[in-house]
Amino acid sequence: MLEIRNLHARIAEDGTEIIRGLDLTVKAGEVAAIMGPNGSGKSTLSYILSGRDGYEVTAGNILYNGESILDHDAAERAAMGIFLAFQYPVEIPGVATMQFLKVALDEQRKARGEEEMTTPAFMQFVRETVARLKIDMQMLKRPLNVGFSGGEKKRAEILQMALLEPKLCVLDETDSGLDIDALKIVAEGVNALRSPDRAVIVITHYQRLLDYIVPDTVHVLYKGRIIRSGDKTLAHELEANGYADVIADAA
Amino acid sequence: MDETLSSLGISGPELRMLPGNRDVQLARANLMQQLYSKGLPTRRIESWHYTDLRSRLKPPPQQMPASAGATDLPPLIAGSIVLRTNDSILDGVAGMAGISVRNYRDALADGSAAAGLVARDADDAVGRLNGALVDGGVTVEVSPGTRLETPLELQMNGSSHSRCKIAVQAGAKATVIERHVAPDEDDARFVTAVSELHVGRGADVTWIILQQQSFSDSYLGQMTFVLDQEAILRLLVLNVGGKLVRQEVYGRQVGEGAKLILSGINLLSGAAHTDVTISLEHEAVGTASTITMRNVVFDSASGVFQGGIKVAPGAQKTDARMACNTLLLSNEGDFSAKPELEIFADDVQCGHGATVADIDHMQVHYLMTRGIPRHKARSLLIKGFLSELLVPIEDERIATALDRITGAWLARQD
Repeated sequence: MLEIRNLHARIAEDGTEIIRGLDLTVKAGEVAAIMGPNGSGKSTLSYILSGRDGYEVTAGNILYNGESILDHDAAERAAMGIFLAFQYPVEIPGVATMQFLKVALDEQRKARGEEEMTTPAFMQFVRETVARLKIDMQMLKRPLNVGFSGGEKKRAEILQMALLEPKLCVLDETDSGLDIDALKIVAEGVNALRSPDRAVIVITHYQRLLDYIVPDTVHVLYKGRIIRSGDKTLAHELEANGYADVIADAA
Repeated sequence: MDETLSSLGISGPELRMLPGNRDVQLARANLMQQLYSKGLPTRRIESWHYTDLRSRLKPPPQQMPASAGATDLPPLIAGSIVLRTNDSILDGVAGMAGISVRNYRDALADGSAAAGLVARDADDAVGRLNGALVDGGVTVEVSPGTRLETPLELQMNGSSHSRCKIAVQAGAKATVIERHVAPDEDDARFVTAVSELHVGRGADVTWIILQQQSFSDSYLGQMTFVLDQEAILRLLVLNVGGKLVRQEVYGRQVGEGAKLILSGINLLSGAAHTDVTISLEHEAVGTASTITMRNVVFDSASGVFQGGIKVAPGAQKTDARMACNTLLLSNEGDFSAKPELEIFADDVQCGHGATVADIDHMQVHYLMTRGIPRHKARSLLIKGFLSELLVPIEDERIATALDRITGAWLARQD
């Protein structure tokens, strides 16, 4: 589903190279965890996947279902089925969450040449999903993410993911700022989306989230490259011994 | 200079054609004489510093007669009481309890309007131009305790120069929509409007100035209000048109505990120049005011906000807040904000702030990652920026109608 080949990328403004020859393959149905110490390029990878301005790919390619996404902007990538759950969801004053959800869903459907969902069908879909994620319907009347607690913001991200039904989900440090109860709800939301035709990339610092979203593969990112890949036991190893050994092995 | 005034219709013979008895004619002639002796204000006059009226006010090629093209518009909110500044004015209100309406032309004819046809101060060009040329308007009184459930809509399309005087007496409640709409897009018009509002003790008024003149029109507006004890006024100024626009607001909070929520939305594009100038006086204990302006500037448009707040000696516990936020979406556009506080009491809370910014790129990116194309994301953010000001409007139908108007305007900017 996703194939990243020898990717090199830098910050456009100052030319700092962050991603330095990254290779990664994620198959449909797979949950891949990307772990790494601070400054290894984890968040930058999520920005580049989502198509954020200000980053330049200088070499290599990102193929999604065999097609390069580098020439598509963020909105087009979303319509293609790529979703990024933000580490820090952005506050959008004056735009009610419900209104935003409808616009996003309509625009994605339009871009894919599908029919718009009727308002009653949309409302029904939202109500069901909201109940599953233990979100208060009242929250959707408030402006998007404005004044939401850390937990509410992350739940709102998972709600969007559940409603937009992407094929490739990228979760950037979704566990940061969550207490254990909120973490479980978020993990349940993600697990409910696991399916043979969907892939999930979980970017995280800690093993904790991976107790609830159990990955098929674990990849260690360091200095902009994957230096080691393994199965879920690799995450336990990292938790027990830290990154030093893996980094030393790779050197 | 004199040519500008005379081609605006300010000349002896032309003024004598306008309605009014001898006293009114005399008052018009006085104002004309003052206009000629002072000339239109230039930027050397402080209150006109950012809007040089002398160079900006261009007489239309030919002034359209007031009634030309004027049609009776359906009201913004279905079921509203529509007062037109032409002869059909009294339709629909005759016999209604708690409200009395008078055609301003009657006040011109019997001379009772003459005393009001004076300049408010030495630099009052808007009052003078309007007073010299005034050709219609309404006087409305809402009697004590009357709570009007339907909005009153003042339609100005029957006259070019209107005067409206509204008194909402103690304990009454009313919503007024002052609506300026060009009958057609092609003719350039010169329009002035002066309105005067008195909100009695404990009365509650929502007033909306909806200015949708055409993009070749010059519009000069002036609103004056007085708030008595515990009165509430929610005033929304919405400028969505006009080539040269000056809207003045002069307010006095004379009664204890009077409250003002003033919001302004200025949508500017093309070569438009829009100036909102507000002067507010807190004269009694415990009065509160919130003034919030939100401006969106496209193309080579320019905007001005002058906000002056005075707190009189003895007006303790005044709470006055003023903010002016601008989205500047073009390198050729500009916006000037001049907040001013003059405080003569020592136990007050006053604050002001102004921001000018482009749309936040992280907000655009976030919306795009959800599949919303860039231009749509931008317009959603602009609408969000404006919609916060529609929140104080209690009547959801009005908020929705105004939202639709700003939305349609934004859609035209693509």
